[in-house]
Amino acid sequence: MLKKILIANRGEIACRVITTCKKMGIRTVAIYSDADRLAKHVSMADEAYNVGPAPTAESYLRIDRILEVIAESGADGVHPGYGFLSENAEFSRRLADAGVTFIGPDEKAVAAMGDKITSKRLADEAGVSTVPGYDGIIADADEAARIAADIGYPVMVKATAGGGGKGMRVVFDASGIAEGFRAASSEALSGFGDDRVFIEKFIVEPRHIEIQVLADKQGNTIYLNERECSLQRRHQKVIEEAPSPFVTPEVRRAMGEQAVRLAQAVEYHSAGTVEFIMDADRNFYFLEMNTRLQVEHPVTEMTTGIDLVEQMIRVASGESLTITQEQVPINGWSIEARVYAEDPARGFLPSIGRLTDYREPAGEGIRVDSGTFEGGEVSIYYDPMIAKLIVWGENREQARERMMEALDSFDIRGVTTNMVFLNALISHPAFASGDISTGFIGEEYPDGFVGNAGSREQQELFAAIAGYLRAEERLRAANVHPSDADSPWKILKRAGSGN
Amino acid sequence: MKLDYYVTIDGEHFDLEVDAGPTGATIKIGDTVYEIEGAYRAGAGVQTFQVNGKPMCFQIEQQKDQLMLSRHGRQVRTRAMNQREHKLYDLMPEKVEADTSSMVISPMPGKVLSVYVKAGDKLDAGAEVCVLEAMKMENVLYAEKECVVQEVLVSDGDTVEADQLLVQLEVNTGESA
Repeated sequence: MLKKILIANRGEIACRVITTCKKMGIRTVAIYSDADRLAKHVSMADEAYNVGPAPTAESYLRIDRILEVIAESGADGVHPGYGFLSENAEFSRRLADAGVTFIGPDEKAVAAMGDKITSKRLADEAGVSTVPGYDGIIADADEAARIAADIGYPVMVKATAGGGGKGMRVVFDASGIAEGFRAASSEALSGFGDDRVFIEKFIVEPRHIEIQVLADKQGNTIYLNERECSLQRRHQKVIEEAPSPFVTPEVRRAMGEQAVRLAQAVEYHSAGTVEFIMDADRNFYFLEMNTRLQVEHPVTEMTTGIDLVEQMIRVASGESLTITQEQVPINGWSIEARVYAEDPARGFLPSIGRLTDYREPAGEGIRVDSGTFEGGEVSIYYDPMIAKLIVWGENREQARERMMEALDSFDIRGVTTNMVFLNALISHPAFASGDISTGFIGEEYPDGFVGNAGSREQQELFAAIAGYLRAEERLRAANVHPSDADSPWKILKRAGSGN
Repeated sequence: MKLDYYVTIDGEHFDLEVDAGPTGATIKIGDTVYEIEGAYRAGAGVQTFQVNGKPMCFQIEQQKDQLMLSRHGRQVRTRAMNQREHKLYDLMPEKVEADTSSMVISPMPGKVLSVYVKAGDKLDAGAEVCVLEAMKMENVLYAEKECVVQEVLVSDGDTVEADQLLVQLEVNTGESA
């Protein structure tokens, strides 16, 4: 078993990994940038090392500096989290050269699946259904236009090295292809240091459903059911759940078996995710395989009772899986909402600043994975995700109701958050009935999200609360300064002052 | 204590008869009665009330003379007034929103990657004006209406604040600066 693990990440996922390491009695090493000196993951770890200035290219992405910290701290394993160096084949290779265990798949599998062109070919060969597209390298916008016309619009221009929605553009007709190609290439270059893009058919009204796989180094591979991540905004997942309300047991089995075949084809070990898109007839097509832990992994943990980080560490240490496919349960229902510092009323632009108040909800079936604290800061340097709110219920409806209450009781001040928007999604009749697709948010909120009260009856409840707060303050003021309570000078200064 | 309040929500108007006691209040709006309880915590951002015996959690945010309330994905600005305030409020002038259609304003702090226009350029509605990078994403800013560029106030590589004026446009056709 590994003795000391360096977590090559920050934020909630670094904290998440450290928690499992502690449970397993493994020592932990954190790395941090200048901007993260006081971050939660730094205080949680047994040791912490500065790796450079705030920009990620000068800190969290610096392989040479991280290797120095590994040597200095004596860590024998590295957990990469997600993003950053988690799917970087060079990082895996250099760790292997240094004799350090990478807690993830082999460099060969990372390289094969990290390249979307290679991964699609491998999927084809393994008998996994794939989306029609062009898998060559595209030289310029003119070539992109020719290829897109061959495939037929709409098409998706995607960074070969991309992930997480960056370096991706949907183009609906020939007039948009030049801009789509330029934007995707440019984001790919700045995001991943590789400007290659490819083009494929864009499936209309698809659902995003992915299969969690888990494999050991002895060749045992299982699937831990699916996660549905169809609620997305600009290709970024917003709400995820397990199981999917759309998947039948037969489809689950077919998807799971294809995912396992693909994992075996690249001799995969560790936790990985095979992403599919599914059309309205439940035809599913392979999208990509993520050779790492996913942001939304907790909903799988909540419904299977399996700690994925623990399994990754055990597999990396050479242990065999102790769970067989037949032993993987689906227990109840879990939903995750990604709480972001962003303003839905201003086109979801990031909102930066200090969290002046920060209190997480608690209660039965509620889990919060976060990497921040009251007084912590959301900076321009990193992803503005504040926390992942995860709920569990005996069934989907109970999970949904718990999420609605938990979102309302999550107290975050100092930055604007997307929580009202998240709650509007969870409360939406379409979500309640499970009738969603990846286009849902764009179609339902074409001009962005603006909170509203709905019917007159629903407004009345808010009016009653506003009146109650006013009356309460009036009584309180009367108790503190009886003579001031009716002063007209306070009128309109702020709601609730005066009588 | 009996109190009469007016509450406005999104332009809708509600008359409230409030009977406030030490632990809660009975509030009548038309024929509907709300029995509300819940200790008031001044400045609290999140508060649970008992409404007709059922616990309900609300997010509360003070915004000048209004309270922003939200619950279950619904969000409203409320203004609760007594009779005197209500009368005075009717005399207040309406605030007019500034017209920003002739300005390209930075929607967030970030870095200007490139400016595509120069003073004197004629632009169609929807023309790309500049690209701003923030949070690892590139955001293209567009002209809202057909216009002429009057002045470009930033150049490539500049770091800008939220709400900073980047490019001044002239919306009336014809003259350019």
